[in-house]
Amino acid sequence: MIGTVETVVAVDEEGIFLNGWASDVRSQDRIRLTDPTGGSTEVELGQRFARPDVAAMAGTDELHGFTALAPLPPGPLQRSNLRLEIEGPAGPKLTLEIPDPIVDPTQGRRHVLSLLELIKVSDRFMVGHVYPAVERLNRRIAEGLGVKEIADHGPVPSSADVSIVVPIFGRLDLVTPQIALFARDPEINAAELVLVLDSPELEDELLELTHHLHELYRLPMRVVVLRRNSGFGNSSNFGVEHSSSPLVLLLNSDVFPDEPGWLSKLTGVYRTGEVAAVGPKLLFEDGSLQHAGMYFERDPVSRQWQNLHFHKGMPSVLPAANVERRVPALTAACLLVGRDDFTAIDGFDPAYVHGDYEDSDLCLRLHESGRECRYVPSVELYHPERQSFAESISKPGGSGHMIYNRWLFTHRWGQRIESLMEEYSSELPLTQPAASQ
Amino acid sequence: MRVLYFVHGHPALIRGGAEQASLELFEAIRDRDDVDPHLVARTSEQAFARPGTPFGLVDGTEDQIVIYTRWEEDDRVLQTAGAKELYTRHLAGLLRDLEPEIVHFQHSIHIGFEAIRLVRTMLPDVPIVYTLHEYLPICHASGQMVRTFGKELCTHASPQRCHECFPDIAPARFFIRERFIKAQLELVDRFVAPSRFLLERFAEWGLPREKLVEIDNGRHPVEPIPPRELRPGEMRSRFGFFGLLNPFKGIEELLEAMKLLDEDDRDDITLYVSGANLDVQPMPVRKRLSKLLDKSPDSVHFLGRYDKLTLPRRMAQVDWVVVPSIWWENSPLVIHEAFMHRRPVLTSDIGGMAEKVDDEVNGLHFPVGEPEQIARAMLRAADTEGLWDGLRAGIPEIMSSEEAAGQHKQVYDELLTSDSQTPDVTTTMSG
Repeated sequence: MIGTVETVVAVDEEGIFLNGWASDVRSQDRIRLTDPTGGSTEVELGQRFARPDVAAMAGTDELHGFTALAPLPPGPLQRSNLRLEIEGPAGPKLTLEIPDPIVDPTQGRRHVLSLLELIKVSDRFMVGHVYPAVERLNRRIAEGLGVKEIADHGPVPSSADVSIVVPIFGRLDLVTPQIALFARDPEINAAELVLVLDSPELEDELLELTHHLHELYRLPMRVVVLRRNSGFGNSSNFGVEHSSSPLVLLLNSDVFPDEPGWLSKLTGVYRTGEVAAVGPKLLFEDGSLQHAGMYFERDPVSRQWQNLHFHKGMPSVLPAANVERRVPALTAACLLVGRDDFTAIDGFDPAYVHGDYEDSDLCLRLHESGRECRYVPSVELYHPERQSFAESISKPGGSGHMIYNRWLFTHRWGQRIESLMEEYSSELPLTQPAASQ
Repeated sequence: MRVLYFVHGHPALIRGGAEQASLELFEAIRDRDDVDPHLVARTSEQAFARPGTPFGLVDGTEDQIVIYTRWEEDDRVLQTAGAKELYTRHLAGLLRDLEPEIVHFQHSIHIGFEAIRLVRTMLPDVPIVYTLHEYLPICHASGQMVRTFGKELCTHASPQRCHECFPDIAPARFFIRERFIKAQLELVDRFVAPSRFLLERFAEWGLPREKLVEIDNGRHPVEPIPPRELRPGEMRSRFGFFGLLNPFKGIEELLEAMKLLDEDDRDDITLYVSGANLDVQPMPVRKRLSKLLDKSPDSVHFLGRYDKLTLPRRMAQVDWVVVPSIWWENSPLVIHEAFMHRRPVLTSDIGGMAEKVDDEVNGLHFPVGEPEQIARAMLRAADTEGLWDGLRAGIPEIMSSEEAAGQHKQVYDELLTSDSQTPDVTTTMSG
């Protein structure tokens, strides 16, 4: 029997996440993690998966790849000389050296999620191995998060109606045009504008730019610099935390207003009543619809729920896209919420990695209050393309973090969405029979 | 009245029609006793790269300032300086020192549209005038409005069309470009359009009509060169091309036309090419043009660059001037120069050229970009008895720079006396 443990992620003091391959591992085998002092823990393997390279070498087509979130014998986070011992009913079969782990939690999380691009996810595997590993890594990552610096340019209005929170993800080239268009609008000048920089390495460059932009445009703004890359949800949460107005407008850095006056139209709708959040119509640069509310549809292969935008790519004059109404969810590219509501539910859930599905998750949690998410087509802004945070859907099944987010979203909200989407079934492109899964 | 002009180049440092027109206006304004102007001309000349200041003076002047800007890393798509201390430190200091009562941008390329924003922010009550010399706010392709593939004329910009011209730049970027540039231009109080054609094009693009005023470039008056003396039986068969040697000026089409005429044994029809800037063209263009010039028939005489002194001599050699540009043009200086020396003009039937030359009145139009048609027009010009005299008689007076200065002064006065020169920030332009 042959095999190796290829990569190990230090999850925390109590566990490691490992992956490797081995020939001839049977379900009745007993697998243990041991250390030189004699400590040992039982390991339950996670999902097995195909390793064509190993299969070619071994000449068998069994699933050689293995993964596991393994509990550690008591001891410090970093340690050496751990071994993975595999023992069959007839006695010891194989002992594998455990290599030095990836200690950095962000790198570790990236590695764990990358495995999802190779392995078809099952609930058992996700619930038993990936989700707890990622959650525990998230906790370690969160310890390193925080605000590094806050810089105000000009007197940022402290008693404004609305705080506008714009996370900036490395695309400093979008800042100048967005500020130039904001400056045209007296309502934005009166708002509390907060830019949140997710990339601390760009701190000097951004602060120099915003200093000059403030001199040029006289638009007051606050820049919140984060200690490290934090993702969309965390960045927005920090921005909200460091603002104070009763209403919060979450806005992407690549959303551009058309004409002044849009902000008060949105707040006007918000104040009309039983509304938890409002979002405008968003247009691509050619005037077609980018966003007219979101709905959910099962991915035909994975059966996971995914976000889709109503009427995306259609002409903006489409009658169906011009009805102000309740929708299942709104994009956080431009979303107005009440500060109290947002903070009462702790804002975006940082369990989602990088920036996907947390807006749907937020909307569904806001729904639970009994108030609706309202789509407001009379307000139009442009969202030319999704360029404000990195997108890496180059792989057929999506990148690891997207697969993870989609699973997490489905796991949490599947049943709720099922009934919610029945209300909208008549307007979906193809009405599918309710899934029985 | 203190007027501050921004120009994208100074003729003492670089050749160009808009640069020349801007300087002549400045000089004519300066001759008035009611205006105290300063000129700020952009340069990329390394000699002006001085520590601590981008400013210097044009040799022998004390009212013509040069500003050195580097544009390599700056955002060319948005036409604004990446290093923003150009505005907040240097130009802000200049505005404080010179305290202009009118700021007139003759151009903003290589200074950047945010210079307009700076003026508005620092001097909220000072009227801003902007002269449109070509279509740069609309078109990223050097403002020519000619597609970058083939030589198709472009009628309007859109994110998708601009992306077709520049496949490496996303449509979204062009969307942002238009919005950004319009956000700066809406701070301008008056746009000067040297041609009706250009005025209409900018109105279609979304500049408010009430802010657009048509004033042609004025020219310093010259003594017209007498007509070329003909030998007995000789026809008016000598043509001149004056201009920059770049593909947009139509020199390739004109040389093709000369080849066709030569093949028809019409080597009595001759062309005198006075051209500059071939050396600064991109290598493929230079190669192509040099080859064409080398291979052109003996009836083509290449005379090299010209200037204020050599122009009259060059004009004296020809009967007609050909302006075969394949882009829209605005108010081409060479048409003014031909008319001032009373030479009828053969020109492309589009844009500013068709507007400034009246077909069959003071020149002839030919379909743009078609060598056969250029050749046919030249044949007709050379062979038709009396045509030259008739067209010559139809040549209009060219407005003097003194008169143009007067018209500009009138615009400045209007802006200073009206209460509405500061645009409401909610005044918007249609998209």
